Amino acid sequence: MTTGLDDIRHEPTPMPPSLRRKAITTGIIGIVLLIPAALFDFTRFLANWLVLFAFVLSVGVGSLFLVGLEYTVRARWSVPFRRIWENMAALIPLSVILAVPLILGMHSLYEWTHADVVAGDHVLANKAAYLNIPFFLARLAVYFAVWLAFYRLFIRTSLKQDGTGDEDLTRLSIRVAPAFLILFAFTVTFAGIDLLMSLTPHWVSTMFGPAFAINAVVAGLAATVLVAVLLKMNGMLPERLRQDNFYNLGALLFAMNTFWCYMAFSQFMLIWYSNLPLEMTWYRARYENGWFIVSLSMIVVQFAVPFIALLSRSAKMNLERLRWVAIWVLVARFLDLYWIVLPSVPDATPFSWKDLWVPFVAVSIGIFVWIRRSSRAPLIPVRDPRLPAGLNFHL
Amino acid sequence: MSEPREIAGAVALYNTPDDLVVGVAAARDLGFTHIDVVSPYPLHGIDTVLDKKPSRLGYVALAAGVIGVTIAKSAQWWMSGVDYPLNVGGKPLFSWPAFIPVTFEIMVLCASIATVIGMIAFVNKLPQYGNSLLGSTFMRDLTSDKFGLVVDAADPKFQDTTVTLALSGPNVLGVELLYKTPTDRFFREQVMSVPFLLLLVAVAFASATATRVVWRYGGAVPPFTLMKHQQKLVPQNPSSLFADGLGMGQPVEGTVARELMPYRFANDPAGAETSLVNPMPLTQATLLRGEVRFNVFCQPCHGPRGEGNGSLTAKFPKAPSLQSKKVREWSDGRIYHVLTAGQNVMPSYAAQISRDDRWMIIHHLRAVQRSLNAPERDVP
Repeated sequence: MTTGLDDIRHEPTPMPPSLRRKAITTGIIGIVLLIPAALFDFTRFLANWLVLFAFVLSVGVGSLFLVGLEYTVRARWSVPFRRIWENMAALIPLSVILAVPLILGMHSLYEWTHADVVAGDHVLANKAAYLNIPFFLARLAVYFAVWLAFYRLFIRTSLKQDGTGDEDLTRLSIRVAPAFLILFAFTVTFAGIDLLMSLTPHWVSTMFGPAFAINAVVAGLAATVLVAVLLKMNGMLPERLRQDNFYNLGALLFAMNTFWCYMAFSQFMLIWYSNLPLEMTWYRARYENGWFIVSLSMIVVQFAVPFIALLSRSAKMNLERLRWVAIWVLVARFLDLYWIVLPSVPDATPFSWKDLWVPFVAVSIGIFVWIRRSSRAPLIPVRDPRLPAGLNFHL
Repeated sequence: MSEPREIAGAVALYNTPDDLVVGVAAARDLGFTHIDVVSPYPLHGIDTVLDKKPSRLGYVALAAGVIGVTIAKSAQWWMSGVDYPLNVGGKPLFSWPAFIPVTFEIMVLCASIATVIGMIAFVNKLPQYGNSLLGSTFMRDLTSDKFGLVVDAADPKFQDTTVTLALSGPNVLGVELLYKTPTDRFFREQVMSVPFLLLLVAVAFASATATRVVWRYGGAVPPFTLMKHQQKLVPQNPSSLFADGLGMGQPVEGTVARELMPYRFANDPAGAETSLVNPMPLTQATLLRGEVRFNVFCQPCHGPRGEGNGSLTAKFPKAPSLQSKKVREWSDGRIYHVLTAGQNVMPSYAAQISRDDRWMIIHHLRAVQRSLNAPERDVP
């Protein structure tokens, strides 16, 4: 058994130039599609922007959650993958920029931002203490403050350790990580309520916020599993990093995706069962205007395919299988956010050319952030004291 | 030890897991195939060194889970959809979303039980009454800080002298032969003996009785309250909430029961005779319904053909025959009056038999009367 670290690259691994070309190509296609979409139907454009924002944010905070989770449970198998999570968490500061158009156009999306509507609506008037513009912006600021604070802390200690190898830095991260997980639960839950559930301010589901938080974890996990598998396939990760480590990634993806399905189904079943007019409206909107087939396909897209594809032990170790399941789950996460936001726009039918720009822009953003972050630091936390144990991990 | 002892295998002792891995590789190079290792704690990655195939337990769990899903879904479909159709909030009788939680639980239950049983049966190969390692002097070390390599006697390369030599590598602390232990004799003679089994039965009875006594008389506090014990109003039970102590309360004055229709001719049989007409159509359905109700309410006293010879004769005041000329000549309204208001000993049946049923019973009675007293024109 090799226990040394001679085969580890201590400098950043250059990404192939084709990756940058891909990012530029998708970015250009996205912007070309974006401009007519924005001119043609601005409300729908803003709704799609919210999808983009929620998706990018999900991947970012989900990745940061995985960093915090690793420190909290003191996992060793995931140490070689932690830098990937840290790099993808850089989508959080980027999300701040993405939030600006959303805030500027919030009157087109959020019914409760109109004072005259709220005044004439008994329910909204009662909710005005929470759903009002200053408090909404203050809450967003608090969420981002929490995420950015822990993002800076985790990333800085990790990068500093690359140079010094100071074990106290790991201890510091381990100490603060539990606090982050608790704050993560609150901030992401409320972010889901504020950004997505308040699109339909009359409708309430206590499961919505937690489901959004788990959605973020699944999205972050799927994106980083995809990156890890692609790096491994291109020989950029150490030879020694074996199937056992990838098995754990696959198992985590399998478990979290199934957990998300559990939460989504719990929300649906209780509302479907009680069949109360106030609660049914949200699902009713997803039965009409052609959305029914999209809703029905969720069972297969979100649950059946990833569940069956990752069920067996050998599937979780198979890099090819992991790659396409990670892509599938990422698309499914995107589709879910699309399905949450778009039917809340009046008279919106599914799958218009006006929505096509979103996935292109999202992929472009993801690749750009990855290239930028990975050019700054080695692909694995080279001086982490637990790295040898992580590289020699056996099931 | 008077019996000749049969060799079960050999065990070699090592100081560290790394020595053990080297020993396993050496033994495999020598062509041994029936090898296993003993360790005080799980050795991660040893499966690859031993070239063990992944456990098949997952398939047991999968099969049991699929069976659980099938059982749960079909049982709920049968119970709620077919055998005892239950309309819950206008949902379809077989409403699969509502059945998923139970299906999920039963799937987990089946899969976990099957996994435990499968582990005991297929992986641990129980019941075994002992293990030859237990007789080894190395056992003490193997359960604290040493690591063992075991070669089974079933190995084709196994010959005790060669094994001893082969395993005596540089890192081996010692090699010992293992002997089959006569442990199943212990099971046969000690465990399956009558006194021991009687003792088990006695312990079971004693503990059940003690539990019952403590539960019943010892003032034991139940671990949880049963759902039937709730602080709520129960119909027909007393309640301290109201001054009159009645759980249901009295109906408001002037309350009328649903479908109640006042009977105008309560004290006027002649009026009923002339004024009332049977409103029910004379069809096979009304006749059959009338027969059913007649057999429930009239037949016990009046007899199956209304001859006054029901099964309650001699236990109850004798009921008059309904085949008498008097009754045959009564109009339907007059008979309806008797059913509704009662006559002599017969009470009113207005509370038990609905209005329509009473009229249908009269249809049936007419058919019964005609069966025994047919007019001549009925003869073909």
